Amino acid sequence: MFTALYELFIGKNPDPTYRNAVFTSVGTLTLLIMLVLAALFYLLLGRWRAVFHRTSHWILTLVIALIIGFSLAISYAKDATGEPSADSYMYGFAGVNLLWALIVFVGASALFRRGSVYARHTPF
Amino acid sequence: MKLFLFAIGGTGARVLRSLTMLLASGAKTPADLTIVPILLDMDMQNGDTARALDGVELYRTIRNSAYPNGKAPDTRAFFAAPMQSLGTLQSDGAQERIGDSFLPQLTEHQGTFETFLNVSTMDDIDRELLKTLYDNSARPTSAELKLDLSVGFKGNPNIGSVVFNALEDAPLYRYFVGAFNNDTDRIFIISSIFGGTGSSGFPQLVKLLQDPSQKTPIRNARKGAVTVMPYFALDENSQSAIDQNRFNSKTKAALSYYQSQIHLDSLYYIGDKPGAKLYANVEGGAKQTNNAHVVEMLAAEAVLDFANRSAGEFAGKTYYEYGLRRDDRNLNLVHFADATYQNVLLSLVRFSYASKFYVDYIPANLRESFAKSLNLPQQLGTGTYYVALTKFMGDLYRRWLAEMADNDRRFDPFNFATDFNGLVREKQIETKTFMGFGDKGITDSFLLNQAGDIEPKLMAPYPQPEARLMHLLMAVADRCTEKLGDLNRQLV
Repeated sequence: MFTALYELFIGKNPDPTYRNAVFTSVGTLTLLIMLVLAALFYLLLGRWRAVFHRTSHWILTLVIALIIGFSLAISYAKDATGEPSADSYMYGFAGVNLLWALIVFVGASALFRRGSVYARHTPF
Repeated sequence: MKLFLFAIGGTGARVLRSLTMLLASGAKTPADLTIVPILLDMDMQNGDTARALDGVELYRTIRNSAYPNGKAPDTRAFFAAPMQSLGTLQSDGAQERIGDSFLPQLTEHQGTFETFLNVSTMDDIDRELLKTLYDNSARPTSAELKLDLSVGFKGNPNIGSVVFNALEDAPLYRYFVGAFNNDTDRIFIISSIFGGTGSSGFPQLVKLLQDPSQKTPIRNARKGAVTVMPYFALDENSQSAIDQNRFNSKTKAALSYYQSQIHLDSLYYIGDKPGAKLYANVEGGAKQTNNAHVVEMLAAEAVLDFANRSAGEFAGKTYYEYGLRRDDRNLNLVHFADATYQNVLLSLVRFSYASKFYVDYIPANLRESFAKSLNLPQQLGTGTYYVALTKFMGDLYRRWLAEMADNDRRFDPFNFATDFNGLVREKQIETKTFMGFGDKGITDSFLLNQAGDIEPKLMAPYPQPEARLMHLLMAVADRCTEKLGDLNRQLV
């Protein structure tokens, strides 16, 4: 599933490492991290006290989530392929992963916000 | 139980205004109480009456939306007791509708006392007799027979009693008789003893209610009255028909009459030595807007005291007077008896927190989840219920308190200009902080946490935002009151 997602935007890389070891791992890891971040925002902090619940706080969390999504893709791809520096394919891959992180985080926000006390209407 | 509450004249209206505030604040009432206020006044444009009507109408609007099923959750809820106008009740045999107003028309007559009596059609001998009874001097407006009745009786009960003598045939009274059918219903009358309308209307109304030909439920009903004796002084105004030098003599004369002629279950008397603040000597009309006075608030408490008494507590004609714990000119919560403190003043404390939360805190925090969940960003400034609540809590209630604070005696228990911690003047909520951490009392974050915690829990039982908001206000006010803790009851 993840291979299809990434290759839809950046095409197939001749190095099979991406298909065999990078796409699925990075996609799954990104999914889990975004779910954890959203759960932290809505279900932990959002139910504890009204200290980190506003739209500005949500945007900050989203920016952190996107940075994680982008840097995770670069770092994982570099490790897996053994390249010393990131190439244009890796940047393209990181960009798509950033988009994936964005979708997951926004979707998880829509899902988890009902369980929150102080952030039920953040940001929607 | 319905309490038919006759509020006669300007003082009646001012006491009704205070009563509306007490009921809004959740002062103690019986669970099944419905109040039917009936304002009796010839002066339909009176400023005090208009303000009382404004309060009652807003009360009704707010209550209808806050409790859509008609029932308040408990007797200490804000706006708990329904207020219903006489015209909305079913009336047996009434041939004329009297409209939905709390101020039904007393008489269709408009003009001077002279025209009311049809003097021009009288025989000469009757006319001469009349001249011996009433001042008919050349003064064009203040001579008794020349008084314009559309602004009331201007402190002349000898005129009012003639007009009220026709009350029995007035559509409003016939409607009241038709609507009074339940043995548990009660009647209460608010009037002053030193003015014109109240002092003449009260004995006439009691005479009617006591009449042996009156229908059984009315004759058997528990009846009470609060008679307000002089408690303010007026500016000197030689142009005015109201003569304050006659206040005490009129009171004495009326009291001796009441002693033998007024037979009610409970008679409450209240008055005060007039303070240094003089009221404008206005004969009536829209300009008569006297500042609220603590005597009026205590007279309103008499209404609640009467309503709260169980049927078994009435043991013949009983007189009540009100006494403060200490005769100070500046009053605070501690000056009042325990019953007043428990039944009335603690409710005002709670309502004041709610007022500050709704009027000051919420508009500045519309982005918060609880506010969005209640649709407040869209509704606060436009929805009928929300605008009415803002007007009542922010304008009417606070103005009423401010007027009492500006009067003499002065009653000034709340300071809305400061933060929540200093709202109750008698006790500043102490903060216990160390390097910015610890208990800061009632702060914005405290209120946000409370509202955020409470509002979601109210969603299931109160799906309508209007009802949920009212319950939220009560719950937040409760948390604030808990934070305030007990108040000192020792006079120092």
